[in-house]
Amino acid sequence: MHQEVKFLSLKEPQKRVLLKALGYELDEEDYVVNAETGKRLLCKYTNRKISLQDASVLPGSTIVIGSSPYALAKYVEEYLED
Amino acid sequence: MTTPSLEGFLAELSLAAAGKAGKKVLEKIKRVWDTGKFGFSPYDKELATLAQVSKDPAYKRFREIVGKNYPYLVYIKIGFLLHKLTITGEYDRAENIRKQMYQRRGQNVSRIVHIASTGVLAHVLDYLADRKEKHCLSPTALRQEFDAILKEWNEIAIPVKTTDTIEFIFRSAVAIAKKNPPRFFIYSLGKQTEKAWAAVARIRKDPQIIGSFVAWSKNNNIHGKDHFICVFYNVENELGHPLTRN
Repeated sequence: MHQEVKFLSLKEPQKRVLLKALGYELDEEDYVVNAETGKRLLCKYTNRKISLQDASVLPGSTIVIGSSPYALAKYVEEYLED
Repeated sequence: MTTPSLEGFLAELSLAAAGKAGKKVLEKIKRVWDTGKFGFSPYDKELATLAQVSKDPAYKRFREIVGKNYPYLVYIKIGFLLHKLTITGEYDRAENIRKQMYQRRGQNVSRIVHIASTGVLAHVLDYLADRKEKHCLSPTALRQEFDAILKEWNEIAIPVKTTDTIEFIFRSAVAIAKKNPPRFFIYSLGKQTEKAWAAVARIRKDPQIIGSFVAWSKNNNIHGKDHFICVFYNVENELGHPLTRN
């Protein structure tokens, strides 16, 4: 069974720190980039680039996705449904 | 490692955000994150709602029948989310999501979103699951039935409005029945439910309905509001369904 997960809504400075701790940087336009490659990250569900404002991070992983209803619903489908 | 508290984790983040901590704090944040206890989203409440939908009995039952790879499941969840946003008064956000769905995802998705925003989608799923169990419909037949309902919804659904009379609902139902569709729906929310019951009681006794349509109905209370749906399904269609297992 899936453990109970608490989803946080963080302030912008906190988001920056969390992303940094998870191995990401932000480019000059505030899009999330891979700290090692410098490449912009693409949401695995929508294939769109992810801005700081739009970023969601999945529990217990370093996977960053966009926050469109479609991306969030796909995430629930993949990780939270039995 | 001890179980991290939410307060402690946020405090670490704030400290680091204020520039008062370095690499060690970042490593600690990463360790806490790796416990899997927290996720992060700017739409944390919507994410929680979507997670709740995945546990909704009607949704779960439908999912079990059509299979977890059915492509519309994701939109059904979004539809439930839209309904929740509407009843909690978050109209602007609901409208924004609705527009995104209408613009980008095609006709069937728009129809799911439309039906879901009326609050009746859970009952439609329930009806389909019930049909599957009682009449041994195959998953393929059930998917086709759902697709057909989406496609024909505007022609086969009667939402009971404040201004509608019992006579009007009755006449609307008979007019639809004359076209001999495989099924048609009457549904109501809140105070309109008593009127819907009365109309359905009259429709069921009508000679044009008896022998041609069988009624399936359900009452529910969702978020403190009465919901009622009655599906009249065509007996002729029922007996000859090509994809029934038996």
